[in-house]
Amino acid sequence: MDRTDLEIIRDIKAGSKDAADRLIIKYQKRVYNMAFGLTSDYNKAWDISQEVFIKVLRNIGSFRGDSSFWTYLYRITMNAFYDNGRKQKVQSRFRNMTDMESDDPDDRGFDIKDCINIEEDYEKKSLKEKITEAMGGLTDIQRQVFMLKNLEGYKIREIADMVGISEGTVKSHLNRAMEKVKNAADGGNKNE
Amino acid sequence: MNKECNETKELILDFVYGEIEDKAAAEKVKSHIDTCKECADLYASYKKIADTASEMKVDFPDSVWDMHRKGIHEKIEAQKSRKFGFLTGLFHSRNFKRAGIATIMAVFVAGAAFQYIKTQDNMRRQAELTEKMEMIQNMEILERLDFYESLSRTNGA
Repeated sequence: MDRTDLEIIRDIKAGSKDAADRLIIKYQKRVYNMAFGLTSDYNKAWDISQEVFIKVLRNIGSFRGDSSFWTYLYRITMNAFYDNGRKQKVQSRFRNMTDMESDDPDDRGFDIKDCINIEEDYEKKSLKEKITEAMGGLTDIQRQVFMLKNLEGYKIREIADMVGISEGTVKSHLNRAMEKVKNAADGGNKNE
Repeated sequence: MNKECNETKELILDFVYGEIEDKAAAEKVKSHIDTCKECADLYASYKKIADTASEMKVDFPDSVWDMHRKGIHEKIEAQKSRKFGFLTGLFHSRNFKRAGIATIMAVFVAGAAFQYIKTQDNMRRQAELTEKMEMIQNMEILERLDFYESLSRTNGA
């Protein structure tokens, strides 16, 4: 495990708020992007990534360092993603029942999408949009594998370890995910 | 689609990601792609998706990331104050006061009832003791009378 991570975690356990800030700064973009890849939604990714750090900081005492800190964060991100999905389902069911508008007290009052740094040409931007859209049509496991491979650059073996499935299964999910994304990018209707 | 195409397609993603460890196998895939348009197109599509996806990182100005971080701390503080606020609210709530008064009254009533039962019990025991003492005294008197009667009978005789 990264020595710096261990030192930061030790300082957080000792009660340092600066250390908590250092940890968030180091991983917030990565966690946000993982959450964004899972949800394809800027606002949900914002909430999920914040929730991840809240959980991490609240339970930092129980982190023993058996796995890399990123692997630990990845698992918490996945749990937060599933929790958020369940919460959304309950909220939408409740809204349907009462026909009420959301009155979320954490409403930020600005659209996160407006804050993105835009720097690329049209063709690349267009392909990225198609990939993001296509990722919405992947199964959860296909999306995880697609992200860990393409966004995070992990090897098949490492993904198998992180997700807890065999290398063959990772390859199979990746093949299927790439095929779906390719079909969407080509503008075809071959997606299932 | 021939057999070589099928074999290449099975390995094409490994080739895109540079994950074919066997150099000869990697070379075979490369040679096939150089000569087969269909497989070359597939390789190009996957490579483009992989390269583009690797750059698909959402980024914000530093001020937005600062806001994200600040929000985390604020939510943690809010959760803490909600947690302790619950206890403070509990102590000051009208129901808590009512429950407190009811508990004190219940303890008082239970104590009084216990004391009453205990007193009744003591009185009953005292009465039993007195009765036994009287019986003993009566028996002693009878014994004495028997003694005097037998004495007078002896003297008379």
